Amino acid sequence: MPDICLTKTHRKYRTLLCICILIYLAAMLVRMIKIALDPTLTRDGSVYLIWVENWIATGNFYYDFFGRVDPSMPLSPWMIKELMQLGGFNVEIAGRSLSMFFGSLFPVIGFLFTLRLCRNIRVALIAAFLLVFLPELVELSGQPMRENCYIVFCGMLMIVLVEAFRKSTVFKWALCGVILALSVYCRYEAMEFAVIVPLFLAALWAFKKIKFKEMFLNAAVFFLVSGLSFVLLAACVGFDSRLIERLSFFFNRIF
Amino acid sequence: MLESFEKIPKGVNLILFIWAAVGLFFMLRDAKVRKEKIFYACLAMIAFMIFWRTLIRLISSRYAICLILPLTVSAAYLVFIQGKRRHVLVRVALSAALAVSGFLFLKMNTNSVFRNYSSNILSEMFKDIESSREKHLYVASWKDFSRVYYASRLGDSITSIRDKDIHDYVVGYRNVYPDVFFNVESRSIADDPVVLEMLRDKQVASLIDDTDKNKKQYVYLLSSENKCVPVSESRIAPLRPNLLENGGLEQLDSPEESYGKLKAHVEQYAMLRNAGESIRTPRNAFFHTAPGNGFPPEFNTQESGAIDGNRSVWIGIPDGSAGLMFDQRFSNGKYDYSMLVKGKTGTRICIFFEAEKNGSRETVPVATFTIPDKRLFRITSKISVDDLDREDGFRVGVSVRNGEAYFDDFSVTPSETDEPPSPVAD
Repeated sequence: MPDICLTKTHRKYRTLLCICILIYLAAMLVRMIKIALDPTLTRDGSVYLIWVENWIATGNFYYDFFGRVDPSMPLSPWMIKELMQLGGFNVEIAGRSLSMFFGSLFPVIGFLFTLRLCRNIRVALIAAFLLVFLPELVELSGQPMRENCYIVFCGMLMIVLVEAFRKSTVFKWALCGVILALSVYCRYEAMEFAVIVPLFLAALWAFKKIKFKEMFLNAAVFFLVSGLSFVLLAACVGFDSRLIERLSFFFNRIF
Repeated sequence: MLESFEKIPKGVNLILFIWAAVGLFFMLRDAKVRKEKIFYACLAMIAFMIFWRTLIRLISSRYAICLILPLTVSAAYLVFIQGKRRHVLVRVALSAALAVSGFLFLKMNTNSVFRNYSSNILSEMFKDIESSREKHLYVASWKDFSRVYYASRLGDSITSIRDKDIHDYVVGYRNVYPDVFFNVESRSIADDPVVLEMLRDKQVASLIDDTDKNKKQYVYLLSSENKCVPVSESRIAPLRPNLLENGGLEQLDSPEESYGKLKAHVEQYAMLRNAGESIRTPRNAFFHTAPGNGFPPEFNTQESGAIDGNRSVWIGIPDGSAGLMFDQRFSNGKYDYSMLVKGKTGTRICIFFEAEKNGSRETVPVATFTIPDKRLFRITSKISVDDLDREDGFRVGVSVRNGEAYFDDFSVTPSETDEPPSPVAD
């Protein structure tokens, strides 16, 4: 097994970058063909567009759309809104472009995750190939839905998690906190990582890779940074007391 | 819990899920992988992610999409390790399995990724509707409501209904609007012969449901049987025999009777304190409005500008609705209801009847029209009542919304055919 380029030289970095770009372009091409053949908007996709339109019209993301109260985190609609206002795009074009960007990025994330996990470029390339053509992802990338950025952020979190497991540093756990806040702001289902990350820390301690004090410190940094990032995001994207309602709705579903 | 678990393979792709499960088996057998502690941490992560999704109860299989990443690693490992098998039989068996599932994988791709069904059918259809139809109601199954709402830009003209209400809407709104579009999923009406019969040959569009290829959305157009026909003011011939007394509105109540009726039905309006005594109501009829319907309503029996004979009724209300209702009651049966209307362009006219049903008074809309221009029109519609629980009968009326109109020559005639009576058209 040719042991994968452990990124020791610039040449290897360059090769890796070229592979990532090629995967991204291939994924983008497949998704563009899909949209060209079938641009039909799914009903969930249209819900997000209506949310963004209402947000722009009323200035309130939690505008009650025909009495339907759908729990939702606002990062993805906010990005669509900002893209619309920055580029002067139509809501559908802005939504689909953003989804295409994140949807095409996901196979790259998958490639890097597999590479870091298996340390084998062949396995990583196969994983990227599967992710480029996976019907569910191709379908999703054409729709203006928040899942696209959610899975990209979760994928990034997994990569950093694997890196942190291999070599634990405070910076990596802090980075996990930042990405966790981003992914939770896309979908509250990402709250699972608020449990998974401490579990990884506990596993590191159990495998005697770190001391108990270090585990506790890293966990504290992770939670502190994720909390701070969440507050910063709320300040940037906008905060509404109903955001808390959405989260409490989520916890009600569990308990 | 099991329901949530079942949605996971669907959300991440069934073939990928199977590959991942087999890949995991080979990973567990690989001594080199087993030595890696991260492998166990990732296994625990996958187990927790599945447990988490069963815990929060997956409403949609799409919520499982985050699992794709770790499962792809396992599936990719299976493909990779397959190339390293030494034993011929194992290699042949695995190659065959991968080839079959790979074929299925590609087939799924071509079906779901590259399916090419009428892409913007909704937008195109709504463009046609907007340009050719003046007033309509669009009824969409709640399942597809958001998409129809977004694509149509119909705003308030669109109503969302649940499957159980489809029958009531199709039957109840059959003639209320000039055009009623029903956007329903095929399975929702499959067991309703009445609805199926009413919607037969009325399909105007169809589209494949995006989440399940076995389901299809259909759009039906039910055009009203009611008629709004322009007539010449010099050749007005009322329909005979007219069961409605004073349908021509020629006889008036005394000033005291008129004021009594107005006090009973529109007392709360300020305009009555000033002008109430000057308003004269037609015999066998009364003006009405309701609190919250907007004001000031204005109505009177006019001699100047009468459409036919010496008097007509004029009702005007800039924002809200007000109307005229007859005192006379009719028993169960089928009737043709007709009137002459002339008014401001865009004024909405609603024909209705009021009946005692299940012990309570109920107002049932029969038809709505929008006055298209300043000409004189004869409006005809059918009223069919067969489920009154008391012998009080029902009474007919007409209301005006956001506009003004003259009314004359009201008539109620027994209906012998299912066709509306032929008015004297110009």
